[in-house]
Amino acid sequence: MMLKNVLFPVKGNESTARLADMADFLKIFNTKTISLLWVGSKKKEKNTGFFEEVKGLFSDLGFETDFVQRSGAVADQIVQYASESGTDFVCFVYKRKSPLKRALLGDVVTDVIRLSNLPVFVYKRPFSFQKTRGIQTVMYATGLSDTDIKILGYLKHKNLKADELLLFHAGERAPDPVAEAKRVEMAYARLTELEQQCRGTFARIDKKEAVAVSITRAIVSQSRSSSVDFIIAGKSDRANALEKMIGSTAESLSHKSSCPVLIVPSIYEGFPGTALSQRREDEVCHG
Amino acid sequence: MVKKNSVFIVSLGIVLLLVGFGIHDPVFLTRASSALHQWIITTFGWFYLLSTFVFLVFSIALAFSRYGAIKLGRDFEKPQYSYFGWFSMLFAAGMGIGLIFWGVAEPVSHYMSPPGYIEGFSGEAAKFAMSRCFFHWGLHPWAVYIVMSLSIAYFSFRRGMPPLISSCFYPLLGEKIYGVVGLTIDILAVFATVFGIATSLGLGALQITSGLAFVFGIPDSFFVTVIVVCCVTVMFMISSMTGLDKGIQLLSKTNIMIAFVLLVFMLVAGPTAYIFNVFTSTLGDYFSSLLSMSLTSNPFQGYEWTKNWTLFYWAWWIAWAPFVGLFVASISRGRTIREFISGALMVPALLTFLWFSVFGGAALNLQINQGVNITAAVSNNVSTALFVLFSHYPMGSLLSFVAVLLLIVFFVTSADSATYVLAMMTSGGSRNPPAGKKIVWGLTVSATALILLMSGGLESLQRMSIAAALPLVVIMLLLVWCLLRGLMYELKESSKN
Repeated sequence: MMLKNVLFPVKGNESTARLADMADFLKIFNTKTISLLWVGSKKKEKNTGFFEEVKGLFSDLGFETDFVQRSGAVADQIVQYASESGTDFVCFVYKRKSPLKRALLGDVVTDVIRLSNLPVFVYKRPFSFQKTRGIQTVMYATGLSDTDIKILGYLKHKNLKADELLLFHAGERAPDPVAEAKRVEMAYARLTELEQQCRGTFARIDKKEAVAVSITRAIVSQSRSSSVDFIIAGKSDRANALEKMIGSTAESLSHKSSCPVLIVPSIYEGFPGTALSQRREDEVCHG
Repeated sequence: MVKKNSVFIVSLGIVLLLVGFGIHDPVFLTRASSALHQWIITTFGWFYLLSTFVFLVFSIALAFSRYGAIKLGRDFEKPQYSYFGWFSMLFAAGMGIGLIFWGVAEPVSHYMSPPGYIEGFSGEAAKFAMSRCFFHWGLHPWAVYIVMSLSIAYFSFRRGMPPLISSCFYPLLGEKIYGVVGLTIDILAVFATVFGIATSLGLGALQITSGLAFVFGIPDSFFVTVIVVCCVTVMFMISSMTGLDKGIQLLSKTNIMIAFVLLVFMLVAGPTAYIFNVFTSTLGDYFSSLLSMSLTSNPFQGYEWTKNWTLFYWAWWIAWAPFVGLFVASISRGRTIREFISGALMVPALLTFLWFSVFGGAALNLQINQGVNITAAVSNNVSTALFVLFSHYPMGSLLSFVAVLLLIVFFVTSADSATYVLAMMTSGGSRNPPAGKKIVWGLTVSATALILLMSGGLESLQRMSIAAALPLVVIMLLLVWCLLRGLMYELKESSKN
């Protein structure tokens, strides 16, 4: 199964109501096992009562739950444990932090997105999501790159039940009108290819293309105007110098979107061609 | 079609309105333009310094980057003009007349009145004077021109857009370049060019009149200035009608040859070893202190000096950039970015360094070693400094005559290139603009210069044109971004293919 085992790092002060919401959302991925991970210093005592409560909550919702404790740098430990334990993806419940706080103190979600070669799911309570009706609209924010082939596996998966798929591409404007027309034409051609590959999975598929100086802003704005419940986006490993300094689109999307986001890296753990990579790709493609 | 005429009509309207205002109330225009100019230079001087430095760093980095191999035109295109023709036109449009005017006067002025932390009339002041002349006329002005001309050349020859400044904004503005925003950018460029060239024409006419008075004893009167402007106007209109390939190129080559002869003569007849000493040591000073000069505004002592000279020049080069940029772009088709930048940055700068070393060095030699009070002549009348220098050399009268001739030819070249560029800017970027528009702009520029010389509003006009440098510098910083976007797109596409 594609997103069967999730690693869920917890701090110990999360609201149980939000955790229950998130667990509900995870059902659409057909997630079976949740590994709770607490990373702290050796001196710091964990809040045992809280973890027992969360474990019980997840068990009641039908998840197999285990608990792991580690010490060290939080993001490093999460990535390391995820890679050792055969986790399929890492999940966070988003807690808003001001940009100043993020800049000064750092941010675990951003670090994990940057460091991990596994998909990272950032849960936010979507505006339009209702438990009863589930996900209505999924947006795939595509860079029209190699990551498409990885993400198609998730989009076509039988467990991802949504009525509508919005294929959205935001790109930078070409330097002249002729090149721009060609760029838009090629973008639509590629979106149409993706649409054809996803046909049958969704009742309706829409394609949209936009010119943007800030790709993140374009994705967020489109997701709001189309009442998207869930965004899937790829993460490129070819970041330019500016992205290295101010963070990639994937990283900023996790903060700025108003609905849950799944960030899928362009490479899986284990380089392409290795047995691990092959196994994961088989799982993704065949569900 | 609508835009072509919109730029023409609106910019002509603004020019006529301001000129009318200058005639009606020159005192108010002087007061208003001085206040605006002072406010801009005082408040945004640091911004000019920083931006100009950014342009220099950007130009050098671009030349050495992988983008340097991109051609300004289709891949198979060859440069339209020979190196000699290209350099001649580059130099004539970019510097030309200013260099003749300031070649002696500027080093002597700095020697007399350096900033407060240097004692005037000292060895230190002489060293400072020469290195600042290199600084003001060296790499930085050309970096400003390069940013503008490279952007226009890339977007027009490589991307097939009309050669207008607004075209370079396509990656940022998209179709909006055809709307009000694009129109405003083009009108601002026309505005800066018209006022810049009218000021140059007026001030140049004054210098030619002074030169004629000095050489031939013709009275230095307004009537003579009117005749000079009229003659020059007729000459540049004729040259402009023949277009780039004939008149402008021919005049530019003539300029360079006369200037070269004058330079060699002064080098041989003057204190040759002294001049070479000045050249090499100033070159050393210039390069060793390039970074500090580029970013120093002397906020603690000498800020007034920086304001009056460096910041004034920087604003002037920026205001001049739309004209030079468009002109240089139109003669640079078929060259690679690396070739364009290295040629436009190094050759004119080297020629300028030589010019200042020869003329400034000779003047300082007269002042320091031979006891000739050349500083008094500069204090008395800046425009006669060159002729005073010649009067201490063999065949001084002939030299002065050649210098007046050079002034006239440089003048005609600058004016006809400006007329061509103005007509091009107001014809939607047509490379063969209609003769009618060339005539309208030629007459407008000359009439503006004359009327404002008469009413005393010429310097106000110069300040207005410099005021236009403030929005232009922002436009140029955005041009850097747009150009980079275009180049990055190009390499990305070629790597895909």
